Amino acid sequence: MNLTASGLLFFAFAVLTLGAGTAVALVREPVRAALVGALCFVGVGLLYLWLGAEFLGFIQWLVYVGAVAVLIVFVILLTRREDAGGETEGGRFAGLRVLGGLGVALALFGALAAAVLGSGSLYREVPEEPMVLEIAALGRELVAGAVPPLILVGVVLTVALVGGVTLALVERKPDA
Amino acid sequence: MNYLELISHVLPEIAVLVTALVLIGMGCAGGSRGGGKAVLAVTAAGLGLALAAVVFGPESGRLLEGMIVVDALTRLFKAVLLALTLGTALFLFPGGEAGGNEGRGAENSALLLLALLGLLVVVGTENLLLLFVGLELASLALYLMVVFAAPAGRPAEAALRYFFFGSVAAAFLLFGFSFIYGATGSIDLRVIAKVLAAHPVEPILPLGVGLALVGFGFKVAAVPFHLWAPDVYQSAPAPAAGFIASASKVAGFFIVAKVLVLGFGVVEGSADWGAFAMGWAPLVAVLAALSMVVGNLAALAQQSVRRLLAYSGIGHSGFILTALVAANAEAVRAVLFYSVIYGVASLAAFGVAGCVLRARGADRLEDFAGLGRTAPAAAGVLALALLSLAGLPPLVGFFGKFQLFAAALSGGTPGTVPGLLWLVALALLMSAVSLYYYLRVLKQVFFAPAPADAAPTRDTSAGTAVCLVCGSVLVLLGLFPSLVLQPLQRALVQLF
Repeated sequence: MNLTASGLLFFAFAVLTLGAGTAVALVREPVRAALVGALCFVGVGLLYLWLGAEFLGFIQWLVYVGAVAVLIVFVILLTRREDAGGETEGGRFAGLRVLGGLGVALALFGALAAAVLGSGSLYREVPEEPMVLEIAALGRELVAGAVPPLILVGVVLTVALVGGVTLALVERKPDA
Repeated sequence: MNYLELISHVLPEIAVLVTALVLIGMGCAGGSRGGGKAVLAVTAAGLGLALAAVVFGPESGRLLEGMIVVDALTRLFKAVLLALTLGTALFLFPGGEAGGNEGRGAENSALLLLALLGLLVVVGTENLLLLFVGLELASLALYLMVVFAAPAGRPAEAALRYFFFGSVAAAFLLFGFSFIYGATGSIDLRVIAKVLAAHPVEPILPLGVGLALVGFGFKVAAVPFHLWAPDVYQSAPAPAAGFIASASKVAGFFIVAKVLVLGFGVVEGSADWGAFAMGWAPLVAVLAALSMVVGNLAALAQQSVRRLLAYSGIGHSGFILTALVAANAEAVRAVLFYSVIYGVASLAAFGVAGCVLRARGADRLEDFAGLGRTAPAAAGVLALALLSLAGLPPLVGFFGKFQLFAAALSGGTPGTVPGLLWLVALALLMSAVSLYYYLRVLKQVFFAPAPADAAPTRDTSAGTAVCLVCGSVLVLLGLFPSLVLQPLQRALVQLF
């Protein structure tokens, strides 16, 4: 296998994404974990760009890095407790738990890899001419074919908002 | 397609959504002192309007590639869900679940309706994307209902557990759906079925179905994805627990049956003894067997009645999945019929457990002592509900279980030993086990003397009314099961 510049880029992006993803699980401080998580999202966006899916890549950055990561940081800052991170999860079965988690993860990865590699239809010939993505077509699709899910997602966000506000009110006045 | 046509097909959902928004407005305007009666009136009116929209709305239609589906079956189940939600809403109110819950009646009702909206969408779609978003809407509202009304400590922990398990399950579901899309190129169940019938199955598809089954298994609390259920049932406010055990489970079984039979009937495989064939049937059979054994045996050891009901619910998921393995029209009819009567019985049982909890402050078995004398109506309904769950004739539970097991045995070639006999034998054994723990509760209710110092549990008006309605439904359907079976049969003819 000879590495081209494009291949090197892919590996750089992949290492960035996987490394940041691993760090999210390993870093102890929640704020740092959130920031490394944002880095992971950036890596995923870069991978999309590398694949030629510009729209998806930019949306990934806009939505995940721009909004979701910031939201996570906000939540961490708002729910900060004095005693956060005091007690360590551990005990006698810590090693067993790690082994169990690794086992499940490996089994799942193996199943996924075997299924993807075994499915011939995933290696279909891709048409040579580049796919042109019209943003206007996406917009039309959103207000025609995808109206029900779009509206429903709005309702989901409303529920989240109502719940967040009500729970925050309770936190404010613990005696009520 | 124009928007007007679309709106006319989702009028029940719109009625529920608008009512929920009105309730949120009332919660904002009324501050923390919302009038309970007004909230109940608005909720009931909204549900009534939605029910009218279901009954008098369009009789059939399929819009936007299966995103909105209206037929006899979806209309029947939308009506069932609306009725169960109305029962739950009545439990919330006057003298209803009060503990730490005062002044948040409006928000609670709004969340109840939004959860219902999610379930209505789920029932009325054949599109995997909308199905997922609807499930998420219902789940999110239910997490909040569990965490609300929590004094401190335990319920918050239960809600957190529910949330984490639910999020992971949702991720599995979506991951599975993405593989299904990758393998078939569609998220419309009917198109998926056509593609599967015409093309050879590739390994990526069973993987997708398996991952989706994990998500569904969580939704219906099947072992080994059941770990959230006991804590949530025990710690959640009684109405929320009742809703999770009734409406949410009915919708859960509805979509599991619909997705598996309608979309993936071709790749069913076989769980017949000695003739296993890869597909979803063996997986469902394993879930069913584990759920029956773990649920019913764990229920034997419980002291808290709500926890006992949770484990019994897990066991019932096993019974219902047993019939689903057969995957023919008869099995689907039995699954849907039993999920409805299970929902009604659960709602009644949780209602009575909530009454006892309110009066005594706990729901251990001892707290039910003497209930038969102090609150005869509640005790009678509890007896009806539990005996129906146990499957004793002439209650409808007997008929429902009979149908489930008969459907499971009906598959296979005639004249030979039915392939699913092993599963049905296990189900019968576990059914006998379940009778023991139901009778343990009833023994306390009717034969144990009430402790002298404890506050007696009295019948309350609204709660008892709902319980009585549930109880009479159980008896009436036991005597005349065709009242539900015939419409169900007619509706299923369109599906198959």
